[in-house]
Amino acid sequence: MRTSSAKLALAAAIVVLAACVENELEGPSLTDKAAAETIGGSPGGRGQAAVVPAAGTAAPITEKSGEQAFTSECGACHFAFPPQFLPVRSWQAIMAGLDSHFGENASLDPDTAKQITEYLVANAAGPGSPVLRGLDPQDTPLRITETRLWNRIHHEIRPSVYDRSDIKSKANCLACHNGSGAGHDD
Amino acid sequence: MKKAAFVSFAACVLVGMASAGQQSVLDHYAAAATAADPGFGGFSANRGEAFFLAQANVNPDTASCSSCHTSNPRSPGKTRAGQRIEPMAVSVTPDRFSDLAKVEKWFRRNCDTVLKRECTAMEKGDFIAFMSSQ
Repeated sequence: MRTSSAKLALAAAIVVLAACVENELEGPSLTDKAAAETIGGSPGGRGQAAVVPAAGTAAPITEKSGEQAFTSECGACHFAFPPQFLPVRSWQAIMAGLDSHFGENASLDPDTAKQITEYLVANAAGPGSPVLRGLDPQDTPLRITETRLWNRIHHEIRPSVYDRSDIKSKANCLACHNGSGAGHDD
Repeated sequence: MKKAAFVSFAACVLVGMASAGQQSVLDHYAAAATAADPGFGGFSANRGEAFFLAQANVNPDTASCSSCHTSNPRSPGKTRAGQRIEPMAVSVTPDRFSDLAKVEKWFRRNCDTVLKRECTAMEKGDFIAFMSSQ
C-alpha cells in the first residue's frame, strides 16, 4: 500500500514536471497551440519577430510579459483571442482605438498598450495563413467574426444562438469551444 | 489600553474594515474631494448605492453600473462579451479598491462608457464606501 502510494505520488510528480517543462518549451498555451493547429498555420511568426537577444538582455522576458499583459488586460473583459486570427494591420488599428472599443472605453496606459501591441504584431496572422486568404490587402477587419475564415467555419450556427443569455455574443468563444480548439458542447 | 482597542475597533467598523491599500485609495479621493469643495463632509455609502443603481441611459448597451455588475454587489457580474466579473463587494472580494492605478483605470473607462464623462472624486469615494459596506 505504501509502495503504491509512493509510486502514485512519483507518477504525479513526473506528470506535473513534464507539463511544466512542455509549457516552458512550447511557450503558447494549449488554447493558442490548438487554435494555430485549427487554422493550419504556424503561430504566425511567433519567435521569428523576437529580437535575438545578446547574452544577459531581457528580450525573451519582454515577449513573455507582453503575453501576460495581453491575457490579463484584454482577458478581463473578453476571451483573449489568439493573435493569429487577425492580420498585423487589424491589431494595430484595434490597439490605436482602445478609447472607443466596440462601444466601450478600454483605454490603457501607454506602456502597457505598447507592450501588448508588440505581442499582437509579433504573433498575428503571417504569410500563408488561411486568415489572409480572400482578404483584400486594403481590408482591415476589426473583429475575427468578420473574417471569411470565421464565417466559413461557423455558417451553420443559427444567429439566435448568439443571443442566448448564457452566450450573449459571437465573441464568447468559450461558450461553445472548450479551449482545445476542436468542436463544441452543443 | 481598553479605550485604545475600542477606538481602533470602532474605526475599523466605520471604514468597513478597510485594508491599508483601501484606506490609502479612500484618502486620495477624500483629499481630491476636499480640494474640489472645502465643505466636503465625508463619503456616503447611501449616495454610492444610489449612484451604482442609477439608470443613466446614456449608452443603451451599458445603461448603468448594474448593467454588468448586477444590482447585487455581492454577486458576480458579466461583461458584454460574457466574461465573469468578480463581485464588487469588499466582503466577497477583499482586494477590491486597494490599488489606486487599477481603481483609476476602471473609473476612467467605465465612467466614460456609462456616463460619457469623468466621475468626480466624491462619486468615486461614495462608490467605494458603498462597496466597502457590502
